Amino acid sequence: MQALYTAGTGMAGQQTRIDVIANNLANMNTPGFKTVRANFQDLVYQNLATPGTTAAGGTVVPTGVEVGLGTKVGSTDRLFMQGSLAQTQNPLNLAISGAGFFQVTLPDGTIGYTRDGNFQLNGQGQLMTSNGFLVQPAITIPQNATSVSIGADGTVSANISGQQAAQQIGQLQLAGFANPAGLSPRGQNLFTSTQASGAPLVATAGQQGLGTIQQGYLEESNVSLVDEMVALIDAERAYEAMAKVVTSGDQMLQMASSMNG
Amino acid sequence: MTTAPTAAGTAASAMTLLEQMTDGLANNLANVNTPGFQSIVMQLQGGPPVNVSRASDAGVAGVGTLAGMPVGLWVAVDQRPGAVQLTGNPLDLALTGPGYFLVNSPTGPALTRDGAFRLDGAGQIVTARGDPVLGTNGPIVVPAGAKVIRVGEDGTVSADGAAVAQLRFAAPPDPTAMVPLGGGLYQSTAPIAPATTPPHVAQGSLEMSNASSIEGMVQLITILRAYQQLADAMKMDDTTKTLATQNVGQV
Repeated sequence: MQALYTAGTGMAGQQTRIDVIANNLANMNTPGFKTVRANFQDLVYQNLATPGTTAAGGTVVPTGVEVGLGTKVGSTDRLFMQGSLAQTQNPLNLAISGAGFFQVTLPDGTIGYTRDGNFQLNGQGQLMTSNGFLVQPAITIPQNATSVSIGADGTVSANISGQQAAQQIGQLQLAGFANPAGLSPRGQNLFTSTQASGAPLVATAGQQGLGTIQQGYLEESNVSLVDEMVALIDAERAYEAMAKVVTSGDQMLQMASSMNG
Repeated sequence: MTTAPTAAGTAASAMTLLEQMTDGLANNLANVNTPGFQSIVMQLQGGPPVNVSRASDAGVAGVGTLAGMPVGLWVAVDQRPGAVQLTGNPLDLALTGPGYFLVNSPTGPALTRDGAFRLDGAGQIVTARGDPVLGTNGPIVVPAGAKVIRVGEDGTVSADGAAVAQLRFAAPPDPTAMVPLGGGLYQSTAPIAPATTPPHVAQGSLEMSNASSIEGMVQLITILRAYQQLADAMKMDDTTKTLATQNVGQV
């Protein structure tokens, strides 16, 4: 009775899906977090009858019989849809409206990419993420700056005490990818590029299809509570259906084995 | 000459086929969340009717016919579309309207409605399993360093505004000629024809499975009850034979 094992693969797949949903829900309030979706694939098929062969009773099998062996979670894909922007009034909170990522320098020297613009200054006045990774290109705010303003195109300017005009002190750039779903997540809201994501396009915000920068805002996670709850119910019901298949298969075996009683 | 099927033989044959149907149904249900999955539709297939005659009718035409016992399953792929879900990923493509994407599987060209595509290391657009998706000029290669990939409703693939390929679409083959390969791929035993009215492509969306838990559960109950009745019929047949053998010679 293959059905028992086939239903088992379905139950295992739904369990993984529920793990993914749980992680999405746990990150509902993580700025810049992107929803993950479990991507199912059907497994190989078992050939029970080949078309054109002769079956019992002398008839020619007109169509083949292929019975599938179930499902698996082939991949978990990230949905890079825009999250809503929440106003924070913090001048170092930046949100990207549109495509693109902020670049940060990781401890091993490579570049990481993030949508989480919850930035801070370190002791030297350098712009860094809440985990202490420096933002690329490096921006250093002078110690005597009284206010910082960051334009939609990423221009950083500061008012220095004692000076009349604001001074441009740097320019943030964004990185875009042909296939953001191919980025590899490394936790702490960071991604690294892979062959699947393609090489980054680094350009000024607002150009070449990249989004613009909004100062004083944070991008909220794009997790939708309603969608996740619907997915959770769906997963639970699918799991229940699988369990029912197992019970039914078991009942059929029982009936077959009790026929001579 | 065909002999009339016995009650036990007919029941056993039908029970074996019902078990196979349960296996197929379990696979449909296991794949309710597989993008582009198309359910398998199964029906019992009867064999040729059998003539029935009495011993005293030797040499004479039979007194009637009995329906043949079920000899096999009629299997087809359900080509109804699944629900379309928005994902926002540029390489998630959903088809609206009948037709299939063509991909190069290790065993030759295959059809799929699972448009969860990605780029491989060589810049080729591939399926989740890594099979290249076919355009009118073969596998589609997105130039290295392309930043924005757009796929138009008509299947034109462009990178940074320049057209690079046109997706190939196959017309839906005879549903009974489709052989599932797994991974959302189907092969056709009939020749693959290009779609005369190509389906529309929705970029940033995925077509979900067309398997339905509710339909599956209803079918499962139907199979279970039929199986139960056959098991009962077999028991009854056994009882009849027991009585016949044990009561022989008794007056």
